[in-house]
Amino acid sequence: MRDASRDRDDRRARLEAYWKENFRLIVILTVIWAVVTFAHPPFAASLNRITILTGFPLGYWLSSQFSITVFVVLIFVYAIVMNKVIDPKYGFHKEGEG
Amino acid sequence: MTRTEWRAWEAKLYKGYGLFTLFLIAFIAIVMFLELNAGLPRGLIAMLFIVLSFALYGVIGIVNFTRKFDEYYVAGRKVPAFFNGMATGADWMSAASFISMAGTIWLLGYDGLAYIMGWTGGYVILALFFAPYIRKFGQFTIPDFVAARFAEKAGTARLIAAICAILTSFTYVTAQVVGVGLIMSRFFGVEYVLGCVLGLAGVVLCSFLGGMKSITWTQVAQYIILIVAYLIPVSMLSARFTGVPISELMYGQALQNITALEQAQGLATQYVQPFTTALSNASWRTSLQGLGITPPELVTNRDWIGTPWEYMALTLCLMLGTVGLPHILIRYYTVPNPQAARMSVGWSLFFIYLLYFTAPAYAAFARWEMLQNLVGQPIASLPEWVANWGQTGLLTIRDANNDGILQFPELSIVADLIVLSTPEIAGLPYTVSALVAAGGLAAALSTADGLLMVIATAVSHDIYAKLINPNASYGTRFMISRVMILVGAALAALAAVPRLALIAQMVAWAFSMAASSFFPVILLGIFWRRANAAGAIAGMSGGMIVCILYLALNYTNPYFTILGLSHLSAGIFGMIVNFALQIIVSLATAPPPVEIQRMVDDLRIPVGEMYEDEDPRSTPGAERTERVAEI
Repeated sequence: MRDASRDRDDRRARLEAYWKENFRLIVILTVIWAVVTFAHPPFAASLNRITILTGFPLGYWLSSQFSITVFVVLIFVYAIVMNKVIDPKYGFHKEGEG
Repeated sequence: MTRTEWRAWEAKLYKGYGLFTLFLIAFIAIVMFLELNAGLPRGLIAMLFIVLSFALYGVIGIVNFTRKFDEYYVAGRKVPAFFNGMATGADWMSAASFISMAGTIWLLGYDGLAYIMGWTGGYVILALFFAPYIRKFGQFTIPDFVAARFAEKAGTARLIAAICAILTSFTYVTAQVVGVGLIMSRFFGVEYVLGCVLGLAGVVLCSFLGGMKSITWTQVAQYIILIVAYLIPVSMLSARFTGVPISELMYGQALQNITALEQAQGLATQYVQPFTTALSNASWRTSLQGLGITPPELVTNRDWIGTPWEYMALTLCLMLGTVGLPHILIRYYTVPNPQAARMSVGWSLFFIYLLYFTAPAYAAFARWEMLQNLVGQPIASLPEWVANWGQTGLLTIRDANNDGILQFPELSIVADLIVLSTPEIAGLPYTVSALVAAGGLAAALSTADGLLMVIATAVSHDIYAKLINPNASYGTRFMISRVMILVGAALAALAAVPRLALIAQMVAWAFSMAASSFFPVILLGIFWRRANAAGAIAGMSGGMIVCILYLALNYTNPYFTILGLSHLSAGIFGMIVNFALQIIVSLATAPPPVEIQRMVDDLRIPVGEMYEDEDPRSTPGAERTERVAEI
């Protein structure tokens, strides 16, 4: 009886630790997302005075190429870190793919 | 499935679709060769592309016929993350992305980039906050989630959710039908309305027999067609103008040339500059004119030019609307597990990114072409395509200063024409135009499928089976679902007739509705244990009503605005109201029962199924509570 209840407490503590790590990663990536989305448009007119690569005005380039590339990277970072590092660390292994 | 079976399944898919891609490219090359060397007629080329692609969708649809519940609703939960990503890409990229977006950027310049960021950034939020939990929840529709999470008032919550799903999806699908009508009427010379009907026949073909299963596998094929159809013309344009076929890298040159030409021709230098779009009631006027009703005066509100609010609000609204769209959220029911759900969002955005990274290039090269080669020509000797497209009524030339020569402001093109007409404008072989038409149809049909599926299941599964007749047989449910697909398609065709706005704008309305109804409710449902049913119901209803009111008021009167936000960003207000109502009402009423709070805990565990039993007529609540209690 006592062993079962201690097991349950351990599991609960494990789950809370897991959720904390997950949530921390989520917050970090969300902050990067927000900065990359909202930090540059208000300054686009000034940034446009700088030209890069084959002739892109910088303000225009940030909205059309830079931010969206970062978005793809953010998602894969989250998926890979969770699937390969954090889930296994807490004993969660994916099911349903044999 | 065992591991070996799973690997064999994936290998089969890679081989099948890989071969299809090679075949497609070979087919395009052969037809182009025959056109240039053997004089293959245009009509035949158009027929080949469109009829063959429709036949393909029909075959995939028929092969995937099913009577199994989990296959019809969630494709058997067997779709690998990579392919689910492609299917989601096709599901996502509708006529708005394919036809309208490059045209919108062509029209608005920098301000159009709000659509690029807005329609990609939401996937980050989807991956971080929603997808794995939706998959863990693992039922069949989004109102299922709402009803289970807000179980104290499951019936009302489900009903409101179903209504919001229907409103949002219907607005969105109407925009697709406009796209289908445009393509069909231009390439087959049929009347716009008949074009809509023909196109919808294609939709029904894809989704009728096998539901989500046929839809998913058709969407993978449609993705391949649409991405090839999008990338080829713009690469050829880039090669012609800059010598390098990588348009995404080279369009910087186009931007430089556009700015130079704008200055030379005395146009205000606008294309790359931000916040230059005024609010106006032009769309409202043209749709009334189209219906033969005398429209109100043209009103343009320039007070907010130069401010960044509309741009940022629209970007945010589109991003958060992404996360509230039922037809996208249900795509994360079809993967095997939450880990696959996370990867699948990554693949989804990657496949979407391939097009979105390219759209501004399309717009830039098209505008360069027009400013350089079209402007300054005598109006009497403009090329044939001008007359051809003029017949659709979406292109007009008016010699305002009577000098017989075309100046840029005298050319008036509806932005939705740009992608479809660019191959002809640039003198590319007609094969490319036909390919673009087939790609646009693939994009519109794949999204329309997903949307009609949401509407159909909202009626057959959520309203009928769960609320009216819980003992309905599978046969009855499927039949209602199929009838609703037809009804939804027909009503959308009717609603498409007045052409209320640019395709991209109508889609933005759907996003506003999603941001005002589902996004806040599901977010707080997953992350805030205290959120309860009363709050969710108040939030969804209040949010949706505020959104629709602001939209209607600003659409008809551009001076009705807060901070210069247009009807396109109405969702911001709906969303704020939704969050506020949810928080206030949840805190003012009783907390949710303990099993619901346990459900929220269970959502956070990335293994195990919450509902062992796939039979939706059972009530799995009891087993679930016991299982969570073990943890």
